[in-house]
Amino acid sequence: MIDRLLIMLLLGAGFTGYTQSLLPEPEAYECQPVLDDRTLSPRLANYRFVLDLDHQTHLVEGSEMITWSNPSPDTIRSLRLYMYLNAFSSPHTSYLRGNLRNVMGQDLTERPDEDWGYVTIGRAYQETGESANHELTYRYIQPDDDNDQDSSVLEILLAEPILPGESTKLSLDFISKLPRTIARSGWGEHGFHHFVHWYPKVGVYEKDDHGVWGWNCHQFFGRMEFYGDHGNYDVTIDAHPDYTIGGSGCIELYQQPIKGSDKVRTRLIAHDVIDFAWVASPLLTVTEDRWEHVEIRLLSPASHASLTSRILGAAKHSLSYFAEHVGEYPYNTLTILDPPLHGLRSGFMEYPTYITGGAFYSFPKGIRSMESLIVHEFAHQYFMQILANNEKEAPWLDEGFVTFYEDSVMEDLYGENSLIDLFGYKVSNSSFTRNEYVSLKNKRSSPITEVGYEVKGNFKGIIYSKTATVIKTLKGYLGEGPFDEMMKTYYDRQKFTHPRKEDFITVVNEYFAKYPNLLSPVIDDFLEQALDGTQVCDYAMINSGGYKIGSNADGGDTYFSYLEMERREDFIAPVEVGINWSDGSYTIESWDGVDAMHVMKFREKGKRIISASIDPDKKLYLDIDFNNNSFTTEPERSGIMKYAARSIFWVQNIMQSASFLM
Amino acid sequence: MGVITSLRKAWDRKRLISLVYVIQLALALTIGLQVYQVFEASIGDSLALEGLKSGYAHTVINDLLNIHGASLSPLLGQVRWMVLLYMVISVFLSAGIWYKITRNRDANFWIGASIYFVRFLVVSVLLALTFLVISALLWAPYLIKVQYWMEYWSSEEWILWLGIIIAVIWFLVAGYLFVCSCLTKKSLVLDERSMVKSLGYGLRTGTRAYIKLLPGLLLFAGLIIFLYVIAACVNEMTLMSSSVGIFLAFLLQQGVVWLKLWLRIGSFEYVQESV
Repeated sequence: MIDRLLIMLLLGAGFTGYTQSLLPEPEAYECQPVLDDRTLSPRLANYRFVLDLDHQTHLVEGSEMITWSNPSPDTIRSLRLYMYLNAFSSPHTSYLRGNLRNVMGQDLTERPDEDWGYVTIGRAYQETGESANHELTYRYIQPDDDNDQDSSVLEILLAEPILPGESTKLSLDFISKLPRTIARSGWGEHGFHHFVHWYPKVGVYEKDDHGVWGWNCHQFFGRMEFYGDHGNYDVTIDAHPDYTIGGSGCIELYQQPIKGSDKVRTRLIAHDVIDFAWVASPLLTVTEDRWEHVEIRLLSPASHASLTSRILGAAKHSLSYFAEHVGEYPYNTLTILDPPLHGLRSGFMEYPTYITGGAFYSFPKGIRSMESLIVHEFAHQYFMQILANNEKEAPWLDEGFVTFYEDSVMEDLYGENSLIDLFGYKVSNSSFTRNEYVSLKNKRSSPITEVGYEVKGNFKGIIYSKTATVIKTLKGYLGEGPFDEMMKTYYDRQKFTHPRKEDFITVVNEYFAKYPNLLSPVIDDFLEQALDGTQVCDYAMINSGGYKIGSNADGGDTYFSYLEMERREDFIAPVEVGINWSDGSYTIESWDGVDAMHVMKFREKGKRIISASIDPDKKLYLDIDFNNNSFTTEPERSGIMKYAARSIFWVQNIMQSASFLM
Repeated sequence: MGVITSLRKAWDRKRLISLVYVIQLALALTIGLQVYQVFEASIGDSLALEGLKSGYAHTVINDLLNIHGASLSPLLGQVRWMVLLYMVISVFLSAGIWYKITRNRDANFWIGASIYFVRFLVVSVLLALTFLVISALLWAPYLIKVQYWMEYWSSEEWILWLGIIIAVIWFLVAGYLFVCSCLTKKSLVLDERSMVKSLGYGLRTGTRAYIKLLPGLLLFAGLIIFLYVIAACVNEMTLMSSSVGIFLAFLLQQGVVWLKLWLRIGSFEYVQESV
């Protein structure tokens, strides 16, 4: 630890002087990371790296060139950089403090010094266009808390300010030393190295909710992901020839021998992305596949060979589904890391054009969590990468949408029992997601639009699952075609920007006006409750009945029928009421859902009510109890008998097994 | 004696098998009826019941558990106590069964059960504790080490295979203790030895005869698995979503339970006649 601090002090002292750029001029490249070589984004933050990987010390040493453009009307005098690898530099960082006993299942209280990691800058220059460049000073800052032992955000004081619309080039020496993996970024046994949030990266200079320009560059906390501007990456990595390399973007060079060195060179190019991640490991095998214009590269351990087709199948169907229902995938590559066992802590995550899954040898085909994960992480290519929302402040805009599309893609590909279909146990993705929300002990802990690191209660249940359930509800009322049209519009308008809640609400309002439905008149109230509120929804059909009230002249009878309904919780939404009549007919009524109790009365010739359902098509997917939505005067209880019979059978079997030695 | 002959002899004890079956069914019915009542009281008037007819309905069951879980959870506690109770009853029944098997057809089941109950109980508890200790010794290190292996091993393939190997050993140990249990009980009833001597005899003879008995025991295990597969397949058939089909499935399940008891008594016959 002392050695490391010494290095950081020496390298980070911050002298002022003049020198040349640290990086040589970039060489041209031929690979095309983006479809038709288009310019997709404003490219505000662009990076070029020349790196040297020392796999024995788990360290990359290199130079970085940042070209950053000022999108604001302000004159910028300092840049803020994420130094997120420093979240794993000691037990005292804001990410780890107070939570050492269980960090992603690990106890870090006795962690050896060599297992910590860090990123540190040596020399830093601002290129001025003159014959020499200014060496810069910098300091670690804590914009979110008072923890002076947290060095996850760095402020570089510029020698020359950046005027509105102008850009500047920074040239840095830096060292990234990976920790033994705590979360995502790090090294594992057998040479596994995963480089994510590994380099000094510029924060986002943007207007806040009050219209004031400033840096959005939070420190790294446990429940936080990432936020960055789109830009281009040109990454050259020198590594041992036994190491398979993969990551974001297209491959310009792969394991090219270097004159006078025992290492080989790989060069990756990524355009219009918000981040860059890569992996290096000697135990990964490469499988290549293609979907239309997209080259898919799967990196997986040899023991997972039998899983390859399942992973690639899920990825290709995701590409196809998104192209049809949301928008074009504009990149030419997709790299998938199926991590080996010792790299599993690096799995389950998304990076631009590069995703990591989590699979196990001999995983049963009837359990599709592996495929579901691939679909989920792929969906992030749209929600957080192309539509680059602030994952720290508005995680619902990516995780919730991604969960919704994960369910949609899986059910489109595998049908009704998309997630599990094993030994009679059948579960669909959307049912599983809804249950994650409705089974929460506290469904009111936070609204889904809560700032990510302020979310109270079950993060996944609220941010992922409730949001997905809200979106499925919107789809239910709007209908599939108009919903797809709405999402395509949202995608087209917001791609390669940083969308916010208001951007989504605008498009929802627009489409609920364009395609009027039961929810349209109260869509504002609905969105307020669903997005910003913590209300819970439960409508119940509590009774139904009727009796004959007279006979008609034509010999038929006239019946009086009634339905009694309740709104049991505080979420208000209009609902349809489907009624089955004794003559076999079916009618649909509507209820505004406002009153705590509502009675519908009918006088009908020749028919009475047999059964009725509130929201028979399950459009209001937020309802926490579908079982109480319906009532029938002629219950068919054979289903209960089936479960009672099964319970008898299994109790008998348990008794027999438990007494085998008796 | 071969497996077929054992099963034929066990078939002659249909009344005995049926007696054990009825006791098991009576106990299980107390749970089944409560399950029926909870379902009926909570969702009995709902159209959601339609979803249960065709099998597992995730949304229906989860909403039921979320809202009415408190009504179902006491049943789980009741099952635990009932299984313990049945284990004691099972010792009593085993004593009667072994008395009938080892003496003669006219031996009185109830007298045998009464005479040997306590001794059988002691032997059964000792063997059950032995099995628990061996199970813990086999599985605990594996389960404790899994997280470490996940960090340090290059592939989970080996963890899986190690688990399978341990499971095979575990089943073999269970089979061995089953043979020892049978031979101890035979010695208790037939030779009128003391518990300690009978246990010694059971362990010694079991150890000597285990390899010889293993193919037959595996065949019995295979037949039990086959019965489960048949029951599962029939349960999955579309036909089993109608009222008549559900009743047929229940009959089939009960047939499986009865046949498993027949196989159990057949395995007693097999062990005691083969040694």
